[in-house]
Amino acid sequence: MAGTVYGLLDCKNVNASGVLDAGEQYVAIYTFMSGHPNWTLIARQGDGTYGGTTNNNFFVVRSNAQGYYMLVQVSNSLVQNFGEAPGNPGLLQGLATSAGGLGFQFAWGDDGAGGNGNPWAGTGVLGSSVKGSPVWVVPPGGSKLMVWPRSNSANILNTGNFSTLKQDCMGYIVQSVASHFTSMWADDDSFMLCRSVDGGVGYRVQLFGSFTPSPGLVYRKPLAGLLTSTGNLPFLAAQQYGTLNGVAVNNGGIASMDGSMVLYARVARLTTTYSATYQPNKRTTPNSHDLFPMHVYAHENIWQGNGGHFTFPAYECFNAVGPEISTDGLRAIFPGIATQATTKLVMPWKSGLAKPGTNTTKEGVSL
Amino acid sequence: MAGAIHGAVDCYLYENQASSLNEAQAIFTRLYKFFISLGNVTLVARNSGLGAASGDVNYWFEANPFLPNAWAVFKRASNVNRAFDYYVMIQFSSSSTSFGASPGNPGLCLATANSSCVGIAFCIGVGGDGNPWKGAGVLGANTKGATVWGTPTAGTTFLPWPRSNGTSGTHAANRENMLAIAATGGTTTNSGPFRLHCLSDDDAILIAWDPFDAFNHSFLYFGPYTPLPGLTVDYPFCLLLANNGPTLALADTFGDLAGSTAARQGGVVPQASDMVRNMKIDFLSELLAATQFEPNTADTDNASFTEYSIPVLCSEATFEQCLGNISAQTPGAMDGRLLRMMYNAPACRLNQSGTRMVLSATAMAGIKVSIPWPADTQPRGTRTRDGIVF
Repeated sequence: MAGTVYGLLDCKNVNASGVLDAGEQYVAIYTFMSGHPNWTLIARQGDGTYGGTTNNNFFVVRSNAQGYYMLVQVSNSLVQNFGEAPGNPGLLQGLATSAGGLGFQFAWGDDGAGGNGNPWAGTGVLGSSVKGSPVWVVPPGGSKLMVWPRSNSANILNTGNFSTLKQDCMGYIVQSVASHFTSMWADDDSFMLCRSVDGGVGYRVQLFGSFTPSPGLVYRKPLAGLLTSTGNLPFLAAQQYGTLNGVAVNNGGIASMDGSMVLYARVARLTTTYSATYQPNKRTTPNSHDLFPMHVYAHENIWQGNGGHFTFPAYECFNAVGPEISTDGLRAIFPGIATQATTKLVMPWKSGLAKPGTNTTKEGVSL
Repeated sequence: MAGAIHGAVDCYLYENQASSLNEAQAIFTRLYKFFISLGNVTLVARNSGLGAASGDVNYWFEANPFLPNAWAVFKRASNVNRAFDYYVMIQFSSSSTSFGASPGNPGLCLATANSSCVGIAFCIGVGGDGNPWKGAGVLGANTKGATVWGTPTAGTTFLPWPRSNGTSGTHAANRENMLAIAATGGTTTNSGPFRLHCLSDDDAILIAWDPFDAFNHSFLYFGPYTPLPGLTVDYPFCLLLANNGPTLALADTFGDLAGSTAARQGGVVPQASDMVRNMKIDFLSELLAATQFEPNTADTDNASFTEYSIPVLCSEATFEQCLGNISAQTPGAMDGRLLRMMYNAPACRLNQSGTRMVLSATAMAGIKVSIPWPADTQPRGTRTRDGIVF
């Protein structure tokens, strides 16, 4: 982890409309990230405010510390597909869906000799920015470019829509339910978003950022992303995060060691420790749950092997009740299903704020 | 872990030409010399063996050697990173003597009185003067107490390894049991070469051995682990012994009540006022159970092995808990270096920088460990009892 963790917690959307709620979530993300002191707003299409016109609006921010870029785009109309103007070219999970959805891309390029390390190919002034085609390019003077999700990297199946235009986003369709709760965090290195899709225990997560390589491993740029798009938590150990065509229940990817492409990612866990026998930890009085960093590794064809653990202070625990907050109120537990004896995520929380799923405003609470 | 690592590795003991003493004497003597050489170690007690003069401390082929059932006790003093002392005892029996016979009584090695054994035991005294050693006499002619270990003067309890010397263990009464540094079954063979590696920093001790110099290592680690964040552990120490090839498994339990299991011994202290209890290790089973991930081919130019820290669990019924990690990783650094876990690595292979060596069974696919190694020194490259000292 690096730097202070900022957050916007428990933003509540109550439109019972996936299209409208997607717009509200987009505005909340924009408000949060454009105001983060250690990220810089690079581009924006639209005004980024509630009630504004948000059809295929997007914005781009840069992690100043890590030098990678994040694009967020919204499709907010039943009559316009994701990726149409002004958000073109663009796909959401490999598709030009017409439903209300949010897409994310992350890109990094090396600065090389005298380069600026900027892979964003878009142009225009803030508010009227347009994408380039392709959306991301190797920075001037550089030689490497990585774009998440995995589908934007070269592969043998498809080099037209995906790897050439670098247009595919990882993300999700916002369902039409009575209430959504969305929380997001960012430190200097990482961005994380967690959302309830049912107003209850069904949380889904996107995490992107740096990881600490395991001893002996040398990564050019240790970045990885995991997204549960249409599947609830927990991240699944046997699940591949990232596909060649972008259509995925779970999406993401991990940097190759040399920084040249994005590979399928998987998560790994301790085995015996993640059990009701060992959790909560009987060593503590009262018993408390151990917190474990999330471990990610590459799992693709001939490129397979260990990566490391995410630096962002989001941890896993096992056999805890959720959603819930810690005794000191500084952490919150996010479940995926109601069963207690499962893996859950533990994220920073604001002392004094009730447990996730209880706030009443779409603006959320700042951390 | 703290401090520089000292070692005597690749010690080559080939004693089968001896008629009166066997390789157990040589192993014992090499261990004795190693412990004496460590900077923060004090010799507390010693008996040079049956019929030996009090000053006899040499190899069997030298003048004034250690004789059967010689033993020695060393104190490892506390330091800025470790608030307590600990004690270690070593002992041996020759091919013609029973382990634990006078002057090494009481004593057992893996719960037996076999000949040709090299035993080792550890103890921490809790409270008082911190000294759990109950022997008497002057140096060189010391005697053991009827109960070998016990609560220190003005103390509250003591923490003995092996586990069988503790409460509800088979040897709880006299605490005389010891662990074996030898081939499977606890005895040395006197029939071939024996490789020995001794390593230590300011806190931990690691001893590894290959009974026939045949790529079939065993190891013993006694030392600290790093408690999990949020856990306060007064005695964050454990013992991990894997005999006859360190192919570790989740199902392994280290430290039986009978103190007789040769393959796996050890234990961990879950609570300060409690006792040594048996333990298990854990690992990322998705990565350390399939050969496709090790060596790591995510780097297409330079495939390499990952070295993992070793999670420590107390596994005794009703006390199950995750406690911490041996060689816990500090981001970006190879800090906890005495013992790390690997998978699918060949025995005696060095890492790319030549600073670590793989201890392994002959089979490739399995969980192994790595230990520090003098840079760019080829394993099994020497044939001296002293080995490579650093």
